[in-house]
Amino acid sequence: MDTATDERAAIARMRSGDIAGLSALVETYQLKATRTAYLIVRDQALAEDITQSAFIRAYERIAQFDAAASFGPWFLRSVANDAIKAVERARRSVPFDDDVDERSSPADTLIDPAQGPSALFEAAEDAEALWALLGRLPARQRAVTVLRYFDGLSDAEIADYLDTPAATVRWRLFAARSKLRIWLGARAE
Amino acid sequence: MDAQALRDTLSTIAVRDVPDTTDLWPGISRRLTGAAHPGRPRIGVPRRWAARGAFVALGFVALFVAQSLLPGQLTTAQATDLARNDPQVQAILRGDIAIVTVTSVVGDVATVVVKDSHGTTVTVAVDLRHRIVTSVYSGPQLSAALTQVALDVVHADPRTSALLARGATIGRISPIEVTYQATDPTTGQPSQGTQTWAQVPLQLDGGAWSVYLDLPQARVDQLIDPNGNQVPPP
Repeated sequence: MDTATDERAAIARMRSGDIAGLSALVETYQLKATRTAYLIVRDQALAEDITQSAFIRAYERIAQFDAAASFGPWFLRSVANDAIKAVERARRSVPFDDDVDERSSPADTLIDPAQGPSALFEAAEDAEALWALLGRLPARQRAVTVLRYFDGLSDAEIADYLDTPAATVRWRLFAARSKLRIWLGARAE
Repeated sequence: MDAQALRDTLSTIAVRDVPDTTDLWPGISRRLTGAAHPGRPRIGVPRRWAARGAFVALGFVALFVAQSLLPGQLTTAQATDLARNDPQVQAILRGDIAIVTVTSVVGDVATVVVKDSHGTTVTVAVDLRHRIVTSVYSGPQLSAALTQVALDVVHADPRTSALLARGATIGRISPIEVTYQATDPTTGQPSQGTQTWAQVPLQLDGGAWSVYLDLPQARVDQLIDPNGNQVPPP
């Protein structure tokens, strides 16, 4: 599917109950959506499950979709929120400092604020090290990191996706990057 | 740059762990048209929990047994059997059944199209939950292209789009043959012809609205509310 016209036609088919319309949208958005979900939940099977369920929900609720809008953001918003909920559900049984992380200042834990981020990231052995550290972030901080650096969304777009004030998004991004900087610094020592 | 490192890492990991060959459609299609109907809560354990041992498996078995004791929903395969064997359908069809296919599943209703070897087509609505045929339609059907025009008009008109925004659902779109009379501008002679229009039913909060579409001019000709009153254009 190359054009907005094709997408509109696919949505019109879905509105008339034709699942072929959904098939076209799956082809267009499945990779981006599954990858976004995977980067948040870090489990491929769960990411696929979340994305499949989101597509089915979109099919069932297509009447609520504003035909003038683009399907992509509407759909990816649903996937991102489901992924966050999945992580939070999984962590509910395990003590985690998500709430504390939201309240405390990242500056409190900075070891060496003067050290440049580039140097610290260069200290990471490879992408695997950074990937492992991303897994230590609380769900919502990880989600805003993924939405910003993988999906390329702005603060305002992330805020809209997650139904959160833009200031909170900026705070979570700042907190996430500060922690990564610290953890990478610790690894380098 | 740290931002660049994050972009590169996330991109590398995403491509490596979720390859381009990922195809969700078979699973989605199965869930939409197969045994696990989308409108029904899924009974089972998510795959990520599958390895958590016998305790979860035991729970799953218990749920499965409980489920099997309850009157279940039809699968779409069973729905096609119900449709093709329906007495009304068999009375309409003249030859051997050539095609039986589920064209859509919306909520609990599957739409099944049955076609015989003579080309006679019957559209059957099957209520999956209550396991009954709710309607059989064998009248003329609008072409795919004109159906698309009809949908475009319904979504573009402010009156009908407002109903859709409130959650109205679109029913089966039927063609209407309209005879018109016109005067030839050159000769002044009256002429007559036919056009295909469409009738679109909308369901909202238990009420049925009817939309009559002038397809050649791509406009709503009339919108009739559940009380039979015409809704004027804004």
